[in-house]
This record gives sequence, structure tokens and C-alpha cells, in this order.
Amino acid sequence: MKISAGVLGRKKAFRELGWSAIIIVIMVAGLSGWVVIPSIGLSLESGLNNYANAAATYIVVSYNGNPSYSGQYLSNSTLSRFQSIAGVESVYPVGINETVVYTPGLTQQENNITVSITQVGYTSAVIGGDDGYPTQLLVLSSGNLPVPGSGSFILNANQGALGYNLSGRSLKMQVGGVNLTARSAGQSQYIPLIGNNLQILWDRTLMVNQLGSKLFSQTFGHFNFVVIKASDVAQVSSVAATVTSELASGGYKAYTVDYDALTVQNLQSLEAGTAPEYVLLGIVSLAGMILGVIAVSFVAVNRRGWEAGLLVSQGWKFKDVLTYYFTYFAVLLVLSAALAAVLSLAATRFSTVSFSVYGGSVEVMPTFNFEYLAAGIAIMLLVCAFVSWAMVRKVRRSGLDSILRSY
Amino acid sequence: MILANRISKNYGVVQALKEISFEVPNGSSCCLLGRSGCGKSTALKIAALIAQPDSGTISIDGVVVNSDHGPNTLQSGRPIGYSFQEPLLLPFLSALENTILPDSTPDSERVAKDLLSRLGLSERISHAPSKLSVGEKKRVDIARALLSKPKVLIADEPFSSLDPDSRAQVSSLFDEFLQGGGTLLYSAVDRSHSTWAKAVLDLGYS
Repeated sequence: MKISAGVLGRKKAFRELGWSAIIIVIMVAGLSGWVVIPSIGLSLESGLNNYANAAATYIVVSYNGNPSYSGQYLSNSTLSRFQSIAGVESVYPVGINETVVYTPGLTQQENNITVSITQVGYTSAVIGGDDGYPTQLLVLSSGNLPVPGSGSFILNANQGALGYNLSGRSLKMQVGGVNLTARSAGQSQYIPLIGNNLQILWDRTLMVNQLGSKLFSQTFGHFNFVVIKASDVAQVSSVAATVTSELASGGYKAYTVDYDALTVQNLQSLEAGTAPEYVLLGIVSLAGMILGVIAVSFVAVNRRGWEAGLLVSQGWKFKDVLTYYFTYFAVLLVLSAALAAVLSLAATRFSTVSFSVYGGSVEVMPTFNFEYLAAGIAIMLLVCAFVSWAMVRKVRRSGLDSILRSY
Repeated sequence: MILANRISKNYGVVQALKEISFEVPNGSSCCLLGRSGCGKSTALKIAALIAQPDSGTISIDGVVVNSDHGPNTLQSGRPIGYSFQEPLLLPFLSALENTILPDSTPDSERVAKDLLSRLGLSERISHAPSKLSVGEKKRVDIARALLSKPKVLIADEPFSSLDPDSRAQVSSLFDEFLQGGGTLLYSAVDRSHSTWAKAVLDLGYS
């Protein structure tokens, strides 16, 4: 058996469980706070950034009235001007027309009277081509793209109008005055800004076959909807303002310009304030832990300051006493770090944060940040070294007699 | 040999020692006798380099040691064993572990077990201090002071709190220590505890 400084420190940590538990609780609370709080902030910012880059960089120009009776289609020259606006990455003009869905069994309550709804109009376009919905923006969340020529479509909205379920059933429909039967082949990833304006996406070949070239051109061949992609979120509001201005100067009074102002605003607000606040809270949490650990450590060690005096009186060198205290705190720190890692991992795994966007909210799962844990442990090691050094310094300054009289 | 020359020590306004001198030759023993508060423990702490005198010198084997800072001298390898008046044991160590604190050589465990056994503590070596009586703690403290085979042993009231059998066990170890050439300086309140020493310095009764 050998009672070296390291062994003595370990024995103190594991045999004086009461004080060890108090110090560990403070260390775990501080370390967990330091890891989890900034992780939430960073995840929120990262999630919002990802969403913004996927959805909030879009600006849509849509016709206010019934698309079947669009009296004023957008000219090619207007679309060219859109393309030349600073901050515009791409312009996707689309011809939208109405698809009527016959809805047997659909009812609606109006003034306590049940009204049968026999048909519902949906905004629709074809996929691809110069006048169709750009394939670059079409990401399926379920199902498949329609097989060319088959009687199927893609649902581009979250759900059908009036809650009527368009998925998985054979529907009687009418496009351009032509009746047909079709079913949804899949659903696209819902982007509220686009999905609210364009609900059904047809296979182009099917439409050409059903309507014939001339009627197809009349139905979907004129541009009354435009998706504009800005180069980044910061450009969105200025691009939207310029597009609005272009429409006004071109006399397009029935068109409106929309973008996800809420997300843009949230992102800018998060970058300017919320995310740094989370980091600040994490720093406050770490600072609280450091002060707490220093205070409790001093109390824990000072209440038996004579221990250090005893060791010196038995011929121990001051560096051995320093090693003894440092080992004691380091053991507690290792245990605390392991507990904090588990707790932080659980906290980040089982918690979600959400932020409001156009048409709903997006949930983000915080990610566990190992860098913060490593930094927290490194900082705490320095704190442990400081407390140990301070204790040995106190023994040296007070003198053995004074320290031993505290027994 | 321990040589104390005109040692004085004050704690604030309280004068603990006033120009005390004594000499303990090698292989000999000296008892500082006196009532409580007469300065016995202060004199022993100064001799053990735990406290510094305000004036005067203390020499061990001809070397004045109190010119250095006490702990530094203790750490210089000079073998001084010290037994406290109130036994100081680390509460999270067993009796055996407390005994081997000054010397962690591979042989120390065997020596410590032997010392504890001779002090009647062979059944108590794995016990924590909280499970020991005051007399048992005192004996562990004495065993620790003897562990590293010091040249000088300084013990503060080593026979107090001990029953006659335990006193005899401690006396036996001290005799063996003196026969080995060691120098013993100890204190006592009870006159009967001083008769064992070769020299008695009365600090407070005469």
C-alpha cells in the first residue's frame, strides 16, 4: 500500500461523499448549463438558417383573382426585368390555371345549415418546361413523381381545401373544361409560401394528351405566377420591394408580391440578438459554476485546513500537497463531466425548440456540442488548479502552527 | 541532541514561553512537566519546527534549525517524528493508512502493522478514526510518529488518555527507540508520567 498524493486525493473524493456530492452537483449544473444553453441557441440559429436558405429566399408573384380568368398575364419583358434585379438568383415563371375537383360527400356548416360542396377549385400548373413549375423546386416528401401519361398529380399543398383529402383516392376532376379521373402520386415538401398559391402539379404529358396542344397552351401557356429566388435571405426584402415597384410601373394591379417576412425577420432578430443571448446565458452559467465551485471548494477544504498542515508536518512537500488537492478536485471534475455529458446529451436529445415561419412553425432538435463540454472541462481544470494553489499558498503564508491550531 | 537556547514565544499579548533553555542528549529522554497552559506544547512545537520562536535558537545535532522556515526544514529530510496532543488523523483514511502517511515506502505497511500491533491495535487497522476511541487515536498518532524511524521523537502528552496497559505498550516502544540511539522529548501534566524520563524540566509546578 502506498499513500501518494494522488492516491490520497482519490480516497478523499470517494470517501467524503457528502462534500464530494455537493461539489459534483454544482459542477454538473454549471457544465450542463454551459453546454446545453448555447447549443440551443446555435441549433436555433442553424435550423432557422437552413430553413431560410431552403424556403425564405423565395419571393412569389401571384395573381389575386381566379386564375381561369386572368385578364392580365405577365409579359416576357417584365420577367426579364425581374431577372435583372440585383440580388435575384433565378426567376421561374409559371402558368397557373384552375383544376376543379368534384367532392362528393363534402359538406360545410354555414349559419347552422349543412351545405353540400360538390366541387372545389384548386390552383394548378404542370411540372417542368418553360411555363411549368420548375423541377428544381420540386422535392417530394412522400410518394413518387407521376409516371408520364398516367392519370396522376403531385399535391403541392399541406392538405386539400376545406380539409378534403386528395391523397390516395381516385378523383373526378376537370382542367380547361376537360373531365378526367386522376389520383395523387405523391406530395411535395410543403413550402407554405408556394403551396398556398399552387396546390396541384400535373404531369405535363398527361395534360398535353388530355387537353390537346391548343387548349393546353391556352390553359397553362400564359404566365400568371412567378417564383423568384433571391441569392440570400438578406436580399429578399429589397428584391421584393423592387419587384413590387416593377409591377406597379407595368400596371399589374391584380398581382401581389409575397415573401416569408416572418422568417426573414426571425433570422435577422436571432442573428442580432437571441443567439448571442444564449451564448451569454451559457457564459453566465459557467461563471456561476466557477464561483460556486470556488466557494464550495474553499469551504470544503478550509473547514479542515489542518489536513494540509498535518501532511507538511509529516514531511510532505508543498508540491505533494498541491498534487493532493488537485487530484481531489480533478476526480470530482471527471465524475461531474461524465454526468454533465449524459445530462446534456439527454437534454438536447429530448428537447426541441421551434420558431414561427410563414404559415406555421419549424421545430429544431438541439445538437449536443462537444466543443463546449471540452472547453468547460478545460476551464474547470484551471479552476481546480487555482483552488489547489490557493489552499497551499494559505498554508505557506499562515504557517504550520496557525493552520494546525484550526483543528 | 536537541539544544534549546533562551527560547521565547508570545501569542499576541499572551506570553507562552520566556527564555526557556534545555538540552536532550542523543539516546536520552526529557519530559517537559507542567500544568495546562504553561507552554509545554509551544516548546515542543518549536522543537518540532512546527512553530517559530520569537527569540532564541533551537539546534538539532549542532545545527540551528529555526533560522529556516519550519516546514522547509521538515521537508529537507531531517527525521523528526511528532505526536500531537490531540491526535490528528485524516478522517477518510483507516488507522493503517493514517500511520503510513509520513513514509510510503514498500516496507512501511509491514512496519506500521507491527507498530499498531505492539500498541494493541491489530484488530483496528482497517477502522476509520470515527470508529476509534480517543486512546486508540492517540496510539495511532504515536505509531505514525515512529514509523519513519526518526532520530528525534517529540510527543505532546503521549501518556494522557491511555489506560495502564496502553501506557506500558507506549513505554516499551519508547524504550526501544532510546536504545536505538533516538532522542525523545515529551510533555506531561501528570507527575507520574514524568518519572519515566531521564530528565524532567518543570515548567509550571515549582
